[in-house]
Parts: sequence; C-alpha cells; structure tokens
Amino acid sequence: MSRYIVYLYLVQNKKCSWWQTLDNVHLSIPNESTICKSTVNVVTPLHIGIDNLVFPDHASLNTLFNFILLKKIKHEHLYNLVSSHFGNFEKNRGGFEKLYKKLSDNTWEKAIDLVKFIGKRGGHMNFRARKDEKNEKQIDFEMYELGSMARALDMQKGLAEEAHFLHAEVTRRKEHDPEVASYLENNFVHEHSEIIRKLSGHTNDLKQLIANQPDPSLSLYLFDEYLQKSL
Amino acid sequence: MFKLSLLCVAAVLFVSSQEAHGKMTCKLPQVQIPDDWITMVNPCTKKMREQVQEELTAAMTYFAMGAHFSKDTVNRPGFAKIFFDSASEERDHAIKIIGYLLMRGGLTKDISQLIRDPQPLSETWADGLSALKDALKLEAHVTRKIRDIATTCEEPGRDGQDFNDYHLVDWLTGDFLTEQYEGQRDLAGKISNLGKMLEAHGALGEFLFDKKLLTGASV
Ligand SMILES: [Fe+2]
Repeated sequence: MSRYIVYLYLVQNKKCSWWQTLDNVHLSIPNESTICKSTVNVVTPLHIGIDNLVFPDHASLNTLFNFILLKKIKHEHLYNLVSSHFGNFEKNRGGFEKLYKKLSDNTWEKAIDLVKFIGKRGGHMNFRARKDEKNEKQIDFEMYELGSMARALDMQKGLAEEAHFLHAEVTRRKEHDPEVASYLENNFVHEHSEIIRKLSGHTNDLKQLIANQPDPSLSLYLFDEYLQKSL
Repeated sequence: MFKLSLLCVAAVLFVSSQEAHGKMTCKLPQVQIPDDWITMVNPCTKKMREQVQEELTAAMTYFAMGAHFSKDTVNRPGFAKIFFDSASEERDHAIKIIGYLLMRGGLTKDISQLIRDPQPLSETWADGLSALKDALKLEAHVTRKIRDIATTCEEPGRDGQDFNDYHLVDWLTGDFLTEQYEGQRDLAGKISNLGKMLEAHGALGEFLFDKKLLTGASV
C-alpha cells in the first residue's frame, strides 16, 4: 500500500495536518481491506496545509497569501501604467519605461508562481480577499521621474513588509511551516531586497544629479539613457 | 493620496537640509511640439483604450482558471498550464495596444483610467470542458470588440471627425484578428475532442486530456 493512500486515509479519518500525518504513518497503518472499505472520499477538500494554519487573531495562511497575491496583481497593473506614462512622446523616457515594464513583467510572473504554490499547498485563490487600502486608492500618474521611483520604492517596501510578516508567522514554534518559510525566502525575500536596493540606489543617484540645478533636463536625459542601457 | 508634487517638495527640503543652498526642480521646460501628426480621433481612441481593459479582464479570467485548476481538489495541471499561458498572452495583448496608442501619440493624459482593477468573470468551473467553453465564449466576445473598434476607426463619423484610420484597422485585422480566429479554432477543436470522450469516459477522458495538455501535445 502506498504511502500516499495511507496519507489520504489518515487525513480523512483523523483530520490531522500533513506533517503530523507523515510522522504517524508507522503507528497505524490500516490493512488493505480497511482501505478499500473505508470511505476515502477524494472529492472532499484535503486541507494539506495553508488552509489549516490559522493564526491567533488572524486569518488563515491562505488568506494572508491571498493578500500578497492581490497586492502583486495590483502592483503589476500600476507598474504597467507608470511604464506607459513614461513611454508617451511628451515624457519620452525610454529608460524609465523599461524599468517599470520590467518590474511589471517580473511581478506578473511571480503572481503566477505564487498562485501555483498556493494550489500546491492545498489553498485556493480568492479575488475578493483584499484588504482596505485607502491610501493607495488615488494615484496621481502625472509623475516626475524622481517621484515615480520613490513611489515604486514605497510599493516594494510594502510588499516586503507583508512577506516579512508572513515569514515571521510561519517560523513561530507552533505554526512552524518550513516549506512556506523557504518558499518566501527563495521567491520573495531575497528578490525584494535586491529590487529595493536597486531602486534606492537609482533614487539617490538621481537626487544628487538633479540637486542644485534650476533645469535638470540634461541630467534626466543622461540618467534615462543610462537606465535604458543598463537594464 | 500620493502627490508627486508634494514628494518633490519633500525631496527639496531633504536635500536643502544637507546642503545649505540646495535647490531641486522636477518640472521641465514646456516644449511646443507640433500636433498635426496626432491623427487618431476621439471615438476611435476611446474604443482602443477600452480594449486594454477588455484584454486585461480576459487575462484575469484566464488567471482565475489557472488558479482553479491548480487546486489540490481539482488537480488538472494541464488545464492550469494552458490557462496561465493564455493569461500571459492576454496581458501581452493589452501591452501591445498600449504600445500602439503610444506610437500614435496617445496616452499623454488620463493614464490612471486605462486600467481599472480588472476582475475575472468567474472564479470556479464545474470541469475542464466548461472552462474551455467559457474560454471560447470569452474569445468570441473579444473578437466582436476588436471588430467594433475597426468599424469605429474606419468611420468615426461623429463631430465632423471623418478620419478613416487605415493603419490602425490594418494592424487590428492583421495582427489581432488572425490570432483571435486561430485561437478560437483551437479552443473549438479541444472542446470537440474532450466532449466526445466525456460522453462515455467522463473522468478518464478528462484525466487523459489533462496530461496531453501538460506535455503540450496538440489535442
Ligand atoms: Fe486577446
């Protein structure tokens, strides 16, 4: 009898979470006939993880993941808009356009990746699981170059904060979930800090380039060209 | 609310606190650019802008399909794969339309209204076949919308803006409609094949079909 069937059986009958299941496999392996007679109903949802993890005073891990996912999708759209803004003929900043296009593309790929991970861990996506974010509602898109980067930096920091929060939740003793922690580290945490570092580098460079200048147009032109070539 | 002008002022204050006489300007000189090359007219531009939201609604619907078929209780990785691929394609279509508008001198204002939080049309499906059918209906809807843009852009007609936008219509019919018709035929074929098997071999049929989709076999 395969380990998986044992696992199905145990989850169905004892409602234990998956790591406990694997731990207990040797204790109570039912015999073949029990399995065939048992009411293993594979249509019933098997909560093999993130749906079962409910934190004190918080929603389930699934909901927290949904918050991050929806935020990613929202960011993907925003980056797309900012990229388009810098691509119009009046702005004509090909470097900035490229910078935000890349952020948008990357965010989209990560969103698909995340929803696959949620599925892998027995969760589900809920498009209505969004948190109220009043201060993010109205965004002025008639942006200047420096301001747009400050804005992007802000968005990335917000996302990183949520990932850190989630990581803290799953690394506590009781709710410890090493796979989720590892996923967050490998797919979010490292990359977030890299993006934030790059954006803050750009922001500082540009700030210095346009400081003390009544007309920053040449600085912006050169910086934009640099962005376009370096990305 | 995020005001860039405020931020710029803040940045000025920040820098000036470091350097005694620091000054920072974000605003650049206004340039007079001739505008008689911007020939897209209003009703046509409006339809094109709306199409961005249409494409992204399709993208989010496919995204939701991908999410649905990735669930452990549904477990159809092949279906999930083709729907995630379609989601990315629809997103690319939206970006392509934006690119066209930019090329023609558009999108210099009201950029925030271009993408208005597109939502999936549905979030769960009874089975693979019903998702494929929804996908085909969605594509047919998108095709009608593209034809509608072409109609409008050939003869915007209103307000004396009588401008046949040959290039845009050619671009739409050449690039977009070709892809729409090919995509629709592909979906119809899939529905046909899967539907025939479901009659007698429901669960096995879908299971098998899913694995074919996963390996990229033409089905
Ligand atoms: Fe499309």
